[in-house]
Amino acid sequence: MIFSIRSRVLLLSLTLFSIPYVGYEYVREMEQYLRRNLETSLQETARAVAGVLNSNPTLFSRKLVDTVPEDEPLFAHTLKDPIKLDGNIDDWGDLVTQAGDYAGKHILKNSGPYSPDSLSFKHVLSKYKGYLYALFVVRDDILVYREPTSLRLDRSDHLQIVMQEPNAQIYRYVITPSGPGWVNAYKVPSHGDSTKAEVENRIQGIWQETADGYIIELRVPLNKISERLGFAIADVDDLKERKIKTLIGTSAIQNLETVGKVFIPSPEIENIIKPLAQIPGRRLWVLDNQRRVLAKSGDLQREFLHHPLNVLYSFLLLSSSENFKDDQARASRLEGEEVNSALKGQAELRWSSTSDDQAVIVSAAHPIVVDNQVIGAVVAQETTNSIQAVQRQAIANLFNKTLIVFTVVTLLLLWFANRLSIRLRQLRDQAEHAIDLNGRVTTTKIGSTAKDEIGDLSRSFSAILEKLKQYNTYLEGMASRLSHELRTPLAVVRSSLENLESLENFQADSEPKESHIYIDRAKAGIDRLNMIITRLSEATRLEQALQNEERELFELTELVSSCVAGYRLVYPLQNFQAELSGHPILLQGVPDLIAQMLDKLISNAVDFSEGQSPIKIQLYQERQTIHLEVINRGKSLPLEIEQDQLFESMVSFRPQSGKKEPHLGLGLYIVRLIAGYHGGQVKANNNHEYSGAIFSVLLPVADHPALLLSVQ
Amino acid sequence: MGRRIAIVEDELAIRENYAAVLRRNGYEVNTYPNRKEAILAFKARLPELVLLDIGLEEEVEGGFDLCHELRALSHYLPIIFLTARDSEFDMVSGLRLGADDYLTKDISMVHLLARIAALFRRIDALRTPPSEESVIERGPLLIDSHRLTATWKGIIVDLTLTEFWIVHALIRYPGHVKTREQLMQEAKVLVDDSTITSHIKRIRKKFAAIDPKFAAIETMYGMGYRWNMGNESH
Repeated sequence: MIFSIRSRVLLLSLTLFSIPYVGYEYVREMEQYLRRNLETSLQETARAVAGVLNSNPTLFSRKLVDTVPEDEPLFAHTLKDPIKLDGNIDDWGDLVTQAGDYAGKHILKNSGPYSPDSLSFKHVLSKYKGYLYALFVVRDDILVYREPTSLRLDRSDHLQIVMQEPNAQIYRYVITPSGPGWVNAYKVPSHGDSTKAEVENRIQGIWQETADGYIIELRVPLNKISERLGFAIADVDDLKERKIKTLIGTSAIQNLETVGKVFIPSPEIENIIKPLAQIPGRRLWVLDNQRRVLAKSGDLQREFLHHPLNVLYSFLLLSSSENFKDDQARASRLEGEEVNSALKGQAELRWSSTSDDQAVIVSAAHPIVVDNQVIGAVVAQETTNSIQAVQRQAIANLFNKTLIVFTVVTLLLLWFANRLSIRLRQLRDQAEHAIDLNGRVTTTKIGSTAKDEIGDLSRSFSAILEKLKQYNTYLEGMASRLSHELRTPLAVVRSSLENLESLENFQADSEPKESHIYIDRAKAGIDRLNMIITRLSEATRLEQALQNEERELFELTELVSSCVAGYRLVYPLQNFQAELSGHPILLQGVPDLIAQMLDKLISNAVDFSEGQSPIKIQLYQERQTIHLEVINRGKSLPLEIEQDQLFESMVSFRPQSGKKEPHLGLGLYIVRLIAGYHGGQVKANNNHEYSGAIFSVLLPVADHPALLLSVQ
Repeated sequence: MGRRIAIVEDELAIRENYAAVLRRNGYEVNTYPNRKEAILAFKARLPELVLLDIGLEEEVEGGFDLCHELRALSHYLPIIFLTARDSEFDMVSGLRLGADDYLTKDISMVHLLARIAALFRRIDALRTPPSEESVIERGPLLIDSHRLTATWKGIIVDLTLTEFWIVHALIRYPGHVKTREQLMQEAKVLVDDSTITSHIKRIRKKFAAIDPKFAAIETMYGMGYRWNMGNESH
């Protein structure tokens, strides 16, 4: 299996993904730090708030607060949205669920058997802006309204209100409508005649009938309420007697002393802590020493910006839900170890899960100390969601950036790898093409001038090619040098022999015959050596000649047939069979060379043909290629020879025995030289029909029709 | 007194062998191993014929230089290159420098002597009026086999001795094909086919320089060449 450089580099670039892994681990480790940071921050906040409140002990001296007895006071929740006095309880939201149930336990007065159907109610208080809102959901099987004409206010179903006003006086009010709808309170003198009532317009509300009773929604201005507040609902069932059958109250309102207290969160403290709790997700509480909430600011739930990509990372780090159940959201008292500890004067920190295990809340409590007396505590709370959010954000950032870096680096690497492999491929191609099919070095200039390893490689390739070329040149020049160098000693021998011969002639009388024989043999040997030398340099001379030959356009068929006629004369014993194309075949080239090439092929064929078998010469044109084939019967070409090798210089596969003339294996080499010069190819194949060889020369046809005309 | 021949050849054995043969044939031979000695002697007295090698001791092309200098001294002095170098390029260079012939060292003594004799004969003949019997006429071509000269349409064709003998062989029997081997024998050279081909090419060029339409030497591919009477003139 071969991996390209490109895929390897791409594979390597995958290691970049270790960056986000390391980052992920780091972020996980960062959690510890972030937790500590959160703790510190909460503690600091609690301490700071406590510090502020320390300097304002008067805020805690409100009589409203400090005199609250231990039993349950009425607690007014703070509403975010206004309430319409319309008899519809929907605008109370989930406060309704926190409403207190008032039934048999709270009976103040009763005659006859009690049934919750006859009278029971749910009650909740709420604060919005300057008003205290009260909701009563009453179950009453028999509704009895006040007779409009009646002056007695206690002869029908009614609501009693006992309220201590800022002047410390306690007043009693009654809401006793003559029918459902808008209602106002009547102020009745305490223990006095209820008939002498006057309308109190500031306490108003709506009386709305329901399937099993009625609903009262009331509004009382906050500045009217001081410390105590109590409600009671009276039920009248007998239209005739019109006596109060049952009276159920939020506290024992018959005696002014036993009227319950109302707890209204302190707006002043709230104003102080509000700016400190402006950090989203942070909630501050200020408690009195009874653990009651004096002020609350902020919300644990916060809006997180959800990046769309974050979804991708949520699998890495569980996303914390902001939809956890916040049990304490509407608490009027805060419980917990940290609170206990703070109220004992010790700042404390607690981690706790929400009841639904969706979030972890960290709360830090700090005591508020005035004159060495713990008067309350500040509790700062935050969920760990912020930590997770930070982590998620960090991881998301990390991943996003890694993704970008990865993309960029990968692209760069890809580009680099591509460039590298292109350069290498170029180098390979150049190296392959630097040596042609004949093993000849065509160029020694290879590759780039780049100063890197590839440049180095190409330079060393060039150097190798240069050496190879030198060696090739040496080899190629060998023949001609050899012939050149041999000529001189040959000339010495020849001239010496000739001198000797002429001397012999002068002294003809002595023993003439014997020495003549030897001289003649020596001369024959010299002639043969001469021929070898001539043949040796033939190819070289041809190569030199090719460089300044002038090409002309000529008719090949005529040339070949003329040549064949010549061969019949030269080789009278040989049978030649010419199958030449009937159409003129035009070739752009040197006719002498083509004839020389054919000479070599024929001479080769004659040498290899057996007996009287004819040598077939075929010439035909196929599309743009001229086929010139010389076919002889006889021995097949040895299978082990590589075709190209056959046409190499100094390669001969002739049998060594019985040769008359020296063969240096240059004949077919010359054929290839000439064919190559004409842009053609040479092939040698065995004949499939009968034993023998086919030598074919493929030449390109002259492609100038204009030249064709000029020839004719 | 024989004619004076100078041999400039750095190879002692060849030099002395040639000198011996030439002396035996009645020539007076002076030998020089290098260009300096030769030119010194030539300036004092010119020989009647010079046999030159190309490579002379250290000077690779000393023979060419010497030929050039000799031609400056005398226009008619016959110069024969006798060298081991057989490349087309060397041959062309030598002939271009004004040598009368260019022979490779594998030439036999007999042939060499024939050439020397022929060259001397040509010089002698130039001094005497042309004799009728030695002149062959083939259309516009006149060949004087005694003076070894050829004219085409009255203009002298400057042929080397080898070229002259090739032309001579071709025109003796016009229309007959002469193979390369035959031409080699006639020209008293032993070369390969392609050398004959290039000789023919040069001959054609020399005629074409006088008459661009010259086409009398016809190539018979596979066989050889022939003098085509019909192509003599147009």
